[in-house]
Amino acid sequence: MEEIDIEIKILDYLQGRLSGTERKEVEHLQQISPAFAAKFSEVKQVWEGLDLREVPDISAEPTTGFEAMLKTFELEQEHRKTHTVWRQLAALFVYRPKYNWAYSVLLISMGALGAWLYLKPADTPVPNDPQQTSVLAMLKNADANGRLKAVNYTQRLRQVNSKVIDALFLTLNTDPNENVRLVTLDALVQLADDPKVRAGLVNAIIKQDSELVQAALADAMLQLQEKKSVKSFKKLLEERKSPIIQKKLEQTVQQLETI
Amino acid sequence: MKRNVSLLIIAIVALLNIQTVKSQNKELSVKLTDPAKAGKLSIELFVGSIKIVAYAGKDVIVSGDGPYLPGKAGQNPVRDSTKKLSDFISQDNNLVRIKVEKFDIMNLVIKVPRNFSLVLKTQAQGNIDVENVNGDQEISVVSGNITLFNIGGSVSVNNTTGTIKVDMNAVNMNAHLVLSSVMGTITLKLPSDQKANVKLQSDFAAIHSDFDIDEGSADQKPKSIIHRTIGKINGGGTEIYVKSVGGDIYLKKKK
Repeated sequence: MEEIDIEIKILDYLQGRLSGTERKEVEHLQQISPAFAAKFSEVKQVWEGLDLREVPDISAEPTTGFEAMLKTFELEQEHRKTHTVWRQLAALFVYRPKYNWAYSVLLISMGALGAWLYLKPADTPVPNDPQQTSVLAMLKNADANGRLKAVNYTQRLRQVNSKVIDALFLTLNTDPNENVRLVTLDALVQLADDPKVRAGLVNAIIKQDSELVQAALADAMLQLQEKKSVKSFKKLLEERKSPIIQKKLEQTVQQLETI
Repeated sequence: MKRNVSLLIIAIVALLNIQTVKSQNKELSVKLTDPAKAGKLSIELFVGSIKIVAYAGKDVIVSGDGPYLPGKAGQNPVRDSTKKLSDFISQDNNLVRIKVEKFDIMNLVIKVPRNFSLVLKTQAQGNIDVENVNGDQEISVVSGNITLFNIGGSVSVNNTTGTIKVDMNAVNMNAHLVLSSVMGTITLKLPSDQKANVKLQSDFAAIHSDFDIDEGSADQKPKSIIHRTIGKINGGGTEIYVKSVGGDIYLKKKK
């Protein structure tokens, strides 16, 4: 197993996601391999340092605070969506001679639904992917070092879904620690083949209040040869800056305009 | 002559003892809920210096000079006699927290057990020194020098102006080091056999390295960023990211 797989397996163990046999396998490995035992205690330490021990399933009901409000809202929305549609569909199946036309509507709707399912974007989040769920939980770590570790994990994931990308952008734009933002920017630049990530990076420029990260975004845009960013850098230059950051952004604008 | 030397030594020892007793009077000892488990110290200051040193004990020992209120224009800060050091300290479940209100000035000297995590933030100005502490460290100051000596664990250090000097013991593969500054010179010292993936960037100054950095083939490097060095030392390992916009970067081998 690769290191990331081992770490994910341990995280799954800690979250009680493993089957009986798999749990025994982890416990056995802990006894026979000192290297595995060391890894286990390290991952456990990171896990125990998390604010959020577990990303709750849809059915789990958080008790207090904003999370609970958010969850209630999400559940209500989910409930409203699924139940209304279901009731309407069910109603159409009741035989009502007066409303025969409804069957036509149903058929058209089903056709439309089929077409939507067939054509919908491929990057819809995969629910309950343990690797991605673990990383999302780790990005909420209270410690900057925990969040830095989470960002490093994302660079080792085989696939990154849109949920993780959204979380990375949220981190880039709002994390209280500048170093976490810098490393997150690096992780996002690696994903810039995706046009959405590229556009997100351009949008992130004017949201960025850290001068250090503004300078790093300038480099990212030069690396990606992204001319669309010129307007945003010009906007940033309207505000007062440290002389060195001013110089950096002016140089970047000049270089991008000559591409 | 021998007698004189002995007398001198006795005198020095006596003097040191007196000084220790004197400073102990101002020290506050903070007990951890569970000394067998790892602890963490979190400090938030507005202005003031912080010095942390590891020692062989189990408590966190805090001594502080202050708080002072900023003096009026052209005058020295004034000691705020309405507050005392213990007002700023709390301990909950092995987390020792020291939070000094805005505009108060405080200089802190703290002893912590060797294995301890640190989160130190100074919002405006002051130097931060840490010695011999083994644990994750998150340190930031807007204007001030940051000096870490003989350190183990993951480290995140950031300032706007002021030098950053970090001297690490062997860093394990799963730890990471992130050091950044807008204007400051950054010096990172590592054991000569440290394995790492390094990313070093100085926008307007130079990068100096004692280590051979394997940058891979030329076509893998982004051509537009000329002031950046990305590569592996000793075959690769721990993730290291060092960035200063205006300051030099030195990557040195520990001797």
